[in-house]
Amino acid sequence: MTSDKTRFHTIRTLLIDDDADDFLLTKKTLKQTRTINASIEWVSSYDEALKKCQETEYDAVLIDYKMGDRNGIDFIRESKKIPCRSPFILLTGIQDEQLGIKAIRLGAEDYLVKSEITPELLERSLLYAIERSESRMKEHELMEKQILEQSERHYRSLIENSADGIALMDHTYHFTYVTPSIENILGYTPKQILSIDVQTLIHVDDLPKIQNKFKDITKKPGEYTTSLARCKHRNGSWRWIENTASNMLHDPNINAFVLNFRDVSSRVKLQQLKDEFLSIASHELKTPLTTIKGYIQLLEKYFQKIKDEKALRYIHQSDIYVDKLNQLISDLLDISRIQSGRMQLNLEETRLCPLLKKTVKALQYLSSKHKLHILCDINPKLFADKERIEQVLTNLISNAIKYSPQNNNIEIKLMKKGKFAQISVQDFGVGISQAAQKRLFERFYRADKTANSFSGLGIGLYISNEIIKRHQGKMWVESEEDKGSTFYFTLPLQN
Amino acid sequence: MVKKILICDDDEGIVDVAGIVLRDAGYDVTTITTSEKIFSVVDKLQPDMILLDLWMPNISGEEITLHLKNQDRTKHIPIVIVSASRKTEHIALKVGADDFMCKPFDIEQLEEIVRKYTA
Repeated sequence: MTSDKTRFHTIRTLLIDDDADDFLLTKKTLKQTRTINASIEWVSSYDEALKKCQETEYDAVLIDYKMGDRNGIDFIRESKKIPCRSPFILLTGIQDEQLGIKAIRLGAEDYLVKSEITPELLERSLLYAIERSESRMKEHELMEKQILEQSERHYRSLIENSADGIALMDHTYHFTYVTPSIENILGYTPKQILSIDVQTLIHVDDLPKIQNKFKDITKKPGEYTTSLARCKHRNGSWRWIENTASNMLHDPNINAFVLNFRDVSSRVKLQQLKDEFLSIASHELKTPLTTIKGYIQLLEKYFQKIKDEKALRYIHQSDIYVDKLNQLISDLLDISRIQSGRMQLNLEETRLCPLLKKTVKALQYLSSKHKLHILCDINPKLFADKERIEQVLTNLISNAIKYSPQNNNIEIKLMKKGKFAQISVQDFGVGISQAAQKRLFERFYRADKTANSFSGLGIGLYISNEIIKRHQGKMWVESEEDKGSTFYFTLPLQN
Repeated sequence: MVKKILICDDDEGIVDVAGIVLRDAGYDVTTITTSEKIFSVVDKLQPDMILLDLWMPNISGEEITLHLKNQDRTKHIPIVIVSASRKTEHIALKVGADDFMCKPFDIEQLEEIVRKYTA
């Protein structure tokens, strides 16, 4: 029995068969069917058939098992990879159930033994193949939909249950979507926050910095920026919010800034406590150091009076090490300040040349062997933190002395380079390898880890570099092993 | 006339060393290690100069300076604030201290600064 709905149903079929007689026979058989009105296209070559199947979706494809040196089973396997979604019916010349079953396992809908084909059998097989293929398609679509829905539920719950706040912000800097976690972070519901101008929640001291960062990434699709700012909680308190914003305005699926933010108040508070602790600790450490230094100098005076050279030498050494210890404590404090962004410069109008000469004079005591030559081409006026620049020079010159034990010249030069004053400190010592040069300005990096001497924590250059960066200047090194090193830094000249 | 120097620091070591150095240099040195006594001592002693620690329990060097520099009887007395933190120099000068000295300091530095303000 055939149903009415398939009567006069026009279907489009493709026959893949290298025998023209078979084509004519199949065409004739199709004509004899009672309830379907089938058109038939015919291809005789394997490759052409693949191309056809890729281009067109047929209601059914009849395929002969025998195809020269290849066969219908290979074709079905290959066509599934294209992919071809037309249903296949395999035609076998010999009565071979095994081939038919194999074809079905590979995705064919049915198989027919050529010699047994009748119009009724063909018709039934075609209708059956079409129906099976359609229902399979529907099943597949349903499953895809379910998977999609499940995946969407999965990601939605992932996003909405994330402790981090996630938000979308349009190009006018207004939120268009915010996850519920915003309520834990800033006290507002997502609905409430959408009607607030977020900029009004950011602390005025932090706002310009944030605005600049957004301006920067707005110009660059895909770029992101991380910032830390105080934001006002609904209850009036200030919270430190860390935010990463990515510019996805160019992405048609998103068309917004994607924001990831979290409350890091406790972390910031901890950092502040740590800084405070370091500050107090270094003060407490320096106080007894001051006393020790005082007593050492009193001893020095005493032994100078009684002319005890041996004792004087020991005392002098002790004094140097007290100074080193003091420098270490200051360095640690500086590191903490740099990391928390609290290193403040005390900028004042400064003449560079006298500062250079004063520092060099004060450092001559470090080595009686080394001669420190100063060459000042200019005597520029600029805005700088005198003591910080002195610290940088001290660092560079004492390094130059330390790393040139076999040579006794150190040259310190000051010259004009465009809108900058350039200071260089050159030694003719052991030099620095190319690999080490790259990492020299990193925190805690030491070029010579085997050095058994009292050579500090390897933070001097890091601090110096940070000081120069904060002066809007640059610091770099040129060096060759066994020939020596030249450290340069620049400072912007006063207009 | 021997100049009178008042040293106020809660660290006894520093007070001792500074006392020795300045007495050797010929000054009349008075030392105190608890800041709350300072106003009565200043009143009685009328020192020619005060060396003052910044961070002390009870009354800080900052508060002491503010007070002394606001009194007619004491505002003329030079005050040098001593602190281990270079960052506090601004505070010292803001509250009216005449000078600032960073710890640790050399004996020469100490002698020099005292000479400068008692000349």
